[in-house]
Amino acid sequence: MSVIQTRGLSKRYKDRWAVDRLELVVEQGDIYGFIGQNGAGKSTTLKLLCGLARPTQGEALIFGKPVRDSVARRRVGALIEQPGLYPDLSGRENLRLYAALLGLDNPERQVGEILKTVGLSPKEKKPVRHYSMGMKQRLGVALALLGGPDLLLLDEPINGLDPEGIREMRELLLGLNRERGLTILVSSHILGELSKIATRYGIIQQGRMVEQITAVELEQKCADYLHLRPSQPEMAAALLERELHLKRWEMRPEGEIRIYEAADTRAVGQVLAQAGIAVEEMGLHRQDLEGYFLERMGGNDHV
Amino acid sequence: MFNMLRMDLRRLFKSRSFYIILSVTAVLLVMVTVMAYTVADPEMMDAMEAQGAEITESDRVMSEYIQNMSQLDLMHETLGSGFLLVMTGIGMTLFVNGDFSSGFIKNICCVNLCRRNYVLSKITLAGIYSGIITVLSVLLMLLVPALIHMYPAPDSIARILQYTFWMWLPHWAFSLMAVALVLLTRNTTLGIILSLVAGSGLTAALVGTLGRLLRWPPLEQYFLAAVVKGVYTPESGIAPIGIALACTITWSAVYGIGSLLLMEKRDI
Repeated sequence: MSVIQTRGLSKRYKDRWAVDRLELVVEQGDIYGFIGQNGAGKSTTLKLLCGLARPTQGEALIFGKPVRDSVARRRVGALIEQPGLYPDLSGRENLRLYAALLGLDNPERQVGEILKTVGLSPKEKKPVRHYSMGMKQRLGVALALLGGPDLLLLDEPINGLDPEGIREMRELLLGLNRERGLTILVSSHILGELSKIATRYGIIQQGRMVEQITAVELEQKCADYLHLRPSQPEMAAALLERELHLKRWEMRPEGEIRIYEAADTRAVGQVLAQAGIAVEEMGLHRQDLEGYFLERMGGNDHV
Repeated sequence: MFNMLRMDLRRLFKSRSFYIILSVTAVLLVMVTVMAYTVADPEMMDAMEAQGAEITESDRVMSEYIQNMSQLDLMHETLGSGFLLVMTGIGMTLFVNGDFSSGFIKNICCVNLCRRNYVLSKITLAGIYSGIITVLSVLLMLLVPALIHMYPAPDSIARILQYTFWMWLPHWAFSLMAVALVLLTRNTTLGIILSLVAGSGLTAALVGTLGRLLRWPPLEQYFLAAVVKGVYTPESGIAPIGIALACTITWSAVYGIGSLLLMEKRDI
């Protein structure tokens, strides 16, 4: 059973579709990296999944139940945009209030444990308004973890964290996923960091899902490849496949051929030259994850 | 809903704004009582006149009027002026808007998708908030005059309790209006300004004027049913008590339903 499944999920604000017929599937145990440009609809999607916004069309299921199902809701912890914290109260008191809202047994003990889990001191008394950005982010994650959820929805959880904080957050999320079996949906702009933890990715653009791909598939797609731009692409591709027995190659829409297996550049050039096919461009390419995402989103715009 | 109310109560007693509102209310009441004492004391009037202050006949009449006040007279002259309404309105505005300005509303609504529970919790809390302010004010108005050796004619405990109850109802209804305004504007400044405007009676006057133009029933009287000058509690008999209760319930229902609609229809 999918932990999250959306069917044609759409949200319209005035004259703009923030989320447009989104099909998103998150499986049990996934760390799902949700990627998209600013304004692509990531936060709106998370709000729809949390019930903070109502869909204009379509539906979202969590643990197979509608978002509004109270039992399913109790299994979800969320950190949407900035952590929502009362600035005049201490971090502990904020958690204590949330524990009261959840109706937890023995809240003091649970709050103390969660604070330790996210690396904050349970004895910290100062009000949240004096916390650093990193401390607030940790506290936001602590709020999401309170009550022992099975699914975590985290919107930009490493925003404002220093490198050490980012590393700690990564280890925390990995630990929660491995040790407690938590399914985590995390949106982030820091793709390099995301690629260290995600097991599945969803790329969203203008409210629509461009691609959902597992980390393994992505790894294969991002492997080194030989690219060439011949004058007659279709003929060249057929020739190379026949002559060099190529199996892993693809034809790009712009007429570029990519060969993902070890191929001798000289042999490729020779085969094409003998057939009278001119090669405008040829070279080895190494693509990283960020490059792949940028390419899928249609250019080098800011992610 | 009870978990939410429990959370709200805990937050209320932990928040600084609540104690600031109570302190400001207490200080203002002490100041007003001291000023009333100053005016009521004939020796003080003479001393002021000797210092060159112009004391007119109306000042002497006022002084005599205050001297002859009962405890309830003094209480109502001080509390029935609308300032308690303003304090309650500002207090509830700060409290409810704290959910939105801090973003904690996201946590609340993630856990509890039934927005009705949020509104019901705030309605109950508004009753508790206005009750605390009303009771504190009544107690201070009994205590402070005695501390400064001002002894208005005593009233029976039963009448004072009755008065406290009838003062509490419109303040509860008024704080519900503040809740509705915050849910509408989601803005502290606007909420406070609207509370001041409404607490000063401007809303009642506007509704009254509009009502007269459109030949509606005298709605503004219902706004003011329990806080009009000289009426401490509804006159004995079922009808006046019924009217005051019906007004409170009606306005509470209007603001409660308004709040619910505002929460249900808008995204967080």
